[in-house]
Amino acid sequence: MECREKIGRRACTGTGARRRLSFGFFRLPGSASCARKSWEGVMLTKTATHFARLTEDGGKPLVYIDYLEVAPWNWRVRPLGLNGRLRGAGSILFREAVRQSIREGFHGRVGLHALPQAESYYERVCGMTVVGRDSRKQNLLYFEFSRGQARRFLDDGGAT
Amino acid sequence: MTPEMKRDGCPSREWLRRMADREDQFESIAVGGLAADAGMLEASVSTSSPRVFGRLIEFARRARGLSVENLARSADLDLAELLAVEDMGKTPTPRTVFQLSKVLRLSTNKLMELAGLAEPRDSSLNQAALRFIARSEPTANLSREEREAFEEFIKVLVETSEGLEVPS
Repeated sequence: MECREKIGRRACTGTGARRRLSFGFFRLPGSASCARKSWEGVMLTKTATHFARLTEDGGKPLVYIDYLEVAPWNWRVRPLGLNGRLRGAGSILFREAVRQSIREGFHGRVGLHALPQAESYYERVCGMTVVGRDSRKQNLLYFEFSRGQARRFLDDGGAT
Repeated sequence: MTPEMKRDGCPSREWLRRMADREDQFESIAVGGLAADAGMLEASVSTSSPRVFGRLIEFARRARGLSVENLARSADLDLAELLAVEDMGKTPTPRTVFQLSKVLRLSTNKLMELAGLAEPRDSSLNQAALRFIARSEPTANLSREEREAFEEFIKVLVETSEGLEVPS
């Protein structure tokens, strides 16, 4: 996919942006965190195709994160002594998805399929509920935020 | 709306610092629903990977009382390559897999699948590998539990008559 539209704006903390992205022929709702005039990470979300699986709000719409990745220059690679240029870019993007859910009237409900190396982050750091392995998504683990968990994440950064 | 939301949607500096510290502890926080739909995920999602292969070879060698050097000599392999396969999860070459399968008397085809060099055809292999990984730790000697896990896995990998051609 080639991104044709360079986007991004400085937020009060120097990062964070919400715009519409163009990928190839498609226009998808997405976000990019941007600082110092460079891309720092990208996220794509869907709002009409996925519904809550948790019993609390079962069947109600949620923001589904289809893709989220931090820019390679922000990766922390300890063996190589690289700390990444901008720290926390992924958390800012994820937070934007929760905020999008609130704006859409979904009360912070968010769902996602985490890659294996990211499972602990969404469970332990963000405090999302592990719903289970999804055979339709190459056996990735599916996570979901209830409205209460989303509130805690915005206030305190989720689980401690 | 939380107090955070009222401040123009910007997270506080404390929130940012806290989350950055936590995020730093993880190799990646990537989300892969889109990649899964496109079938683009790497073998890391599967239990068939060079790392699993390396662990199996190490256990098989130790169970037979062989040193790395002895196994390398018996299988006519470069010592450095065998060490890299066992310790660093390096992807073995097809010839290495073939030679190891002969010396360790394991199915060449299944070892090829396990090393990620052939398309998986047997789902029970994945299940067996998963159980093996969950129950084994790379220690100097095989504990009773590790030996049981290893033997259970070996049952799935028993020598079969089929073989693959050795790439030149």
